[in-house]
Amino acid sequence: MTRLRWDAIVGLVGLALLLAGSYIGLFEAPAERHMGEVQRIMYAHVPTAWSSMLVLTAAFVFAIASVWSGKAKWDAWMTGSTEVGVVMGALLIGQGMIWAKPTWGVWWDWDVRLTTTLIMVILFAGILVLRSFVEDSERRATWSAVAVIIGYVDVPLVYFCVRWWRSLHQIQSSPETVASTMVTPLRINAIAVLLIAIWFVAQRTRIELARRRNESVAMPARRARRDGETAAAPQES
Amino acid sequence: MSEMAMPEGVIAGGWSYVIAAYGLTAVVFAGYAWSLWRRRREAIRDPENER
Repeated sequence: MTRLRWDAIVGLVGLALLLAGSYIGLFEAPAERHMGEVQRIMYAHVPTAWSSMLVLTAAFVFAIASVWSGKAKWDAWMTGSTEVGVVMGALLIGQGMIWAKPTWGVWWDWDVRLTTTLIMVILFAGILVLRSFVEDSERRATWSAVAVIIGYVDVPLVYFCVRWWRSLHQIQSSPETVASTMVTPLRINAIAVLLIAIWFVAQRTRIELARRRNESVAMPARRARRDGETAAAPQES
Repeated sequence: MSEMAMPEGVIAGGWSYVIAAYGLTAVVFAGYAWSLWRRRREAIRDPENER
């Protein structure tokens, strides 16, 4: 019998919780007094926001571990977390735009929360794109870890900006400000999306580790081929 | 201290936006899971695979 890996169990539990939490949020929780049914987007949007920021916080921690130890596994975990953070962040913006249209009357506004979130996604996506151009694995790991550490400055800004500056976006909700019938699906989906994000990170990390192994096989052969071609090239007088 | 007046009324016809938001979430999760599965297969299958 095939043994299930820990991340497969995490992913399956996350998916089951997401289905249960979304069902409660969509069909059992009451409609909000002013926003009506549109408020049900909260049960997908808020967990996505929390998960994207938590996953990018993990990327920041892995980046520090990568710089500190120089071990390939931390670079792989950092890459996995960064990519999942970007995917979650892009999804967050999409969900937010769909919620903004009926409540604010526009799909997008250059509000401080929306702008810092967009910067966050572009910044970390840029790190992933530039990373793919660096051939040397050690240099790639070092500079991308440093870039993630510097780029992380934007993540607390995304979270706290609605408290620090005037914003169209509402401030963070808490169980004290949300009805108990709405808290349950929100909590279930928050755990669910986080577990799914952890599963995504684990899968992406495995891919990165496999690529590193392939590189360590392919690079010496490529270097030898290149050196051979250089030695065989005719010398100009 | 006076509270800020809340506007009266409820946003009507919100279900289409709710369906769009949950549909987008499902598509992104499924699409990304598929992309990971495909990339993992490629990375494991081809030992000479290079980025």
